[in-house]
Amino acid sequence: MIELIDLKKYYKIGDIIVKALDGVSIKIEEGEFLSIVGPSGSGKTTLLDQIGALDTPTSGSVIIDGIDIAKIPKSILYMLRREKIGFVFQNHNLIASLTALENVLIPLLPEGIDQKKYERALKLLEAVGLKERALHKPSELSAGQKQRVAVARALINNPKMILADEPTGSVDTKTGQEIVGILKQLNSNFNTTIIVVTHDLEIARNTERIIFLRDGKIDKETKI
Amino acid sequence: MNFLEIVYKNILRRKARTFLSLLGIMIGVSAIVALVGVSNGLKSSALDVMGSLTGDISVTTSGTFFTVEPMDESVMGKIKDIKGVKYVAPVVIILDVEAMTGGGQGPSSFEVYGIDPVAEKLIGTSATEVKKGRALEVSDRYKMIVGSTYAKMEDLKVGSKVKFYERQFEVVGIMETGNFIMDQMRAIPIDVAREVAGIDPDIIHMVRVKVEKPGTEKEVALRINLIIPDVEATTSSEQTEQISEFLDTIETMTWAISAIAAIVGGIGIMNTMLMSVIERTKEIGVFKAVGWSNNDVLKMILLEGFLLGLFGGILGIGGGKLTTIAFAAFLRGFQANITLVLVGEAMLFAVALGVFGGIYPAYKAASIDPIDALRNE
Repeated sequence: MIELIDLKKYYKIGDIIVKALDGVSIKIEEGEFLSIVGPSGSGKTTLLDQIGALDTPTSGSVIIDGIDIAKIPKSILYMLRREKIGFVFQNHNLIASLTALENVLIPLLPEGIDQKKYERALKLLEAVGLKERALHKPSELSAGQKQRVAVARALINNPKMILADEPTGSVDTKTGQEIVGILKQLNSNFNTTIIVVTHDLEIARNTERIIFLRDGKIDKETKI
Repeated sequence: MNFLEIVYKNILRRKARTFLSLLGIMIGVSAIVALVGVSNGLKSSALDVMGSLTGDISVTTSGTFFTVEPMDESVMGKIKDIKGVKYVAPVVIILDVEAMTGGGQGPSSFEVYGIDPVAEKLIGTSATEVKKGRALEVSDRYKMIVGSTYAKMEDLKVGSKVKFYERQFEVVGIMETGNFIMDQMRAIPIDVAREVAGIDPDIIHMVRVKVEKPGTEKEVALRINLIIPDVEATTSSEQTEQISEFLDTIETMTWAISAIAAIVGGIGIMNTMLMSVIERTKEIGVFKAVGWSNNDVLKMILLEGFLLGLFGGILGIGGGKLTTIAFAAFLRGFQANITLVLVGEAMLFAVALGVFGGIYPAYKAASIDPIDALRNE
């Protein structure tokens, strides 16, 4: 379970304090499929960074499976990311010099890669419909295929949750629906918690709950 | 897939840039291997030569270790009278001006020794180690003995005629000691040397001394220095030491100069890697977001530096070897001495440069904040 309690993240830009998150409290149950929607600058990505242990809050708590990540030094937050979280970014962020298969394996590289891990990466590529493209480099894949490789990479560690930041932002509507379909399938098949940040309500309607953010605060919440 | 593989792919991404930074390390390491190898080669040849060239003790005008200054022949009688001296042999050294200004091939080909054939035999120097033909004899006039390397260089055989100081000399013997300095030596009878070079008949440049009892060289040299004014007697082991010290200094300087070249190469690596880290900011952000630690990133960039140093070192050692081959072709008979220790030191130096060059870029990469990096365009 994920619990955000009165979460605040302030930035100082010159003399001005920007309140990117200003007292956000949310409870997210295990296996939930949730979307966070809001206009640009509403604090969606900042919120995702906090849940994803990429950053620590100014005040408040982010509790993941009973661990308050605000109390973990920033230098060892990577362990939490490695073991519990999978990321899907808007621009897929694949490594251009590596094949699709190697890109999927990237999170496992520090601990070493054996045959079993190779097989798992291939299975994940098969699951996203890209087994035949495993040895292709990103430059040889379409935007949708790249994003599907990114989804496979997010899954390689068998994470408890997947955080997707505008996962359909760089693909057409049809491919966007395909990506959401894959995420939905993961959620129902493996009970993986999925949090999607989007500005597209059509995409958000595929999730079970929509949280609307505005000016760093929760504006409203809708269950579908 | 492992770290090494990903690092290897990284450095191959910008081939031209990688090649240029490798070139920087390669030039520095080549310079170290070639110059130190040549210096080692010279050192072993020079040290080998001392004993056979000078006899037990050599006596010259004081303060003239590396130059040729005249002495009066009467000094020989004085030396002979000193207790412990068995034989003395006079030497006149004349310079081959033609070789110095034109076709000289090596350090010894500039000098021609005027020797006394009888005294030479008594002392038993290398001028008597004639492999083809014969040694010089008392009755010889315009006759010459030459070292085997010099003979090869000038295409000389026993019976060949050589023009020297406007006279025709006949080669009567070819010496072969196996030492490239010795084997470039030339010797003619001492009176003929004085005659052709216009040196007074009572002038000599060096006296070679043989002691009665081996092991008393130092003692006898000390006596000569105490009793005879204005001369300097040096035992061959002292000369070896002096030459060795001199060559050690040259070797240290060689290392220092080459090291500067290599450090410049190392700065090149640092620059390349820093640029590469800046270009890959977003990528490094992704690595961190998916669970890499700061140390994992640090390890990856340091490994890149290590590989660049390793490849630069291998290329540099190859380049150094080729340079010494070219040098040996120029200085025929010369063998550079690239020892395993030198190869090891050069390799270690190259790898250390790569790793040190990578430290700052690696630190920069490890310090990248994944949030800033992921938003970097």
